[in-house]
Amino acid sequence: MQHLDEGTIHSWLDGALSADEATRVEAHVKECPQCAAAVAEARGFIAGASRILTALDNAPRGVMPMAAPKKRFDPIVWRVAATLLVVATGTLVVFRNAGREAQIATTGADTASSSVKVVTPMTQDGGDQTARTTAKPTTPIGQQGNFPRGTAIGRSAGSTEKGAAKKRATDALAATEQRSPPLPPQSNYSAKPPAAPQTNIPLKENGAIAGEASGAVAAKISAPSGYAQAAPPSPQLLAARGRGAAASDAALILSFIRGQACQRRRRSACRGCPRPDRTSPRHPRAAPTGRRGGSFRGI
Amino acid sequence: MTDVERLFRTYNAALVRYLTRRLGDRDWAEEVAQETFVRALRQTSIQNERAWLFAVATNLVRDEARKDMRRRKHLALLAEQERDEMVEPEETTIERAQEAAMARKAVDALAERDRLALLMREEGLDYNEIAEALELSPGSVGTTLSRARRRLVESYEALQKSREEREKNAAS
Repeated sequence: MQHLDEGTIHSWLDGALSADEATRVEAHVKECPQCAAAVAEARGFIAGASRILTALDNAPRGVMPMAAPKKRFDPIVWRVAATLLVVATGTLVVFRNAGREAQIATTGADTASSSVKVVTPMTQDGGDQTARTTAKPTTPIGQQGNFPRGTAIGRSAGSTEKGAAKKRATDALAATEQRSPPLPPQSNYSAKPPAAPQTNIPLKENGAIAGEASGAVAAKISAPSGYAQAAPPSPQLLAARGRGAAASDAALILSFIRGQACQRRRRSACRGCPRPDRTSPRHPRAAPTGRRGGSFRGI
Repeated sequence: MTDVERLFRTYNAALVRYLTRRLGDRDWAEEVAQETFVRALRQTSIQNERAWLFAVATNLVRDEARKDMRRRKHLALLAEQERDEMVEPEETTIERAQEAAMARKAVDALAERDRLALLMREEGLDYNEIAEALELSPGSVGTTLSRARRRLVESYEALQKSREEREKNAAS
């Protein structure tokens, strides 16, 4: 009989041969010392391989990253996230508005110094200081004013309050114009507050500042458009014409309210816009920027 | 007991051991084993369960099978029960870790088919099952196994000898 090959020996040792083949192999191994040695070697390999493979059973855990289970967010997480979103949005809006007011105030001061010649002396001590001085109430707030506190700022005030302030401001302006006819601008206008205003309309100090700034901006922007006729004169102009602090404050408030309304980007939200044709595709305040829909960052 | 539970209780230990030896990571091995049982659940009929399971597990290792978390949750509970019943292995010593590393090297040095046939055989699969799982002819399994065993042992002994020489050089 031919010598056994290694595969047959392993098959025999593994019990994979049929009964007839197993009997024949067994008989040969008993007679053949060479095949008997091969069988012994094969047994060693089988035992050795089994022992080596057993050593692999001490494999550590976590060698390969497990698939991360899909975590469902706890409802409390959603609530916290929603709260944070609301707070962040509110903070953004507040800061943005504050930045815009500052920008408008700066632009207003520049405008007052560059385009409105009559207020040139005012800028010698700084635009902010000038505006503050001009609009400073001569009497304590709340004693004589028909204007509620902070109405001119208007952003946090409700629409009703704003509307009421607007109406009062319009009335005050009309009354002032009736009392004092327009005067030509004075070139040597002083930054000092009016010594004896005809009508004292108290106004919160910061409201006056912002209002004057908005008025200056309105004067600048409304010049080339049809809005110029509807827009009130800038507060500097009013002051220069000698109408006094009351007229100036009223104009400030009115122009500021209109300015606030016009700064809204959506046409549908422009309720305070003085332009009668609200269906116009172009927002009245968007005209200077030359862009449809109106980004007011360039104001 | 459902059919998948019967399959799981019958073959999970062997399958995980096979996969652990194949992959070198028990977590990964358990994950693949569970995926294998999930696949078995979807199967309408399986002729040779053990061969089928080992073949699917082998293919899953190759293909980086997708996961089915829902089914795996149930199987993970069963695995947890089984793990509780198991006796914890001895604490791994440095010497055992070195042996395991050498064994891993020796196994990795094998050809893929030889390695899989050997690992399956160690888990008790007969020649026909190995042939079915690896798509081999039954007559070639003996040759494959004999070659795999010889190469594994020779490779391991070579690594052992090399290590002893390094230790001797370090001592001198």
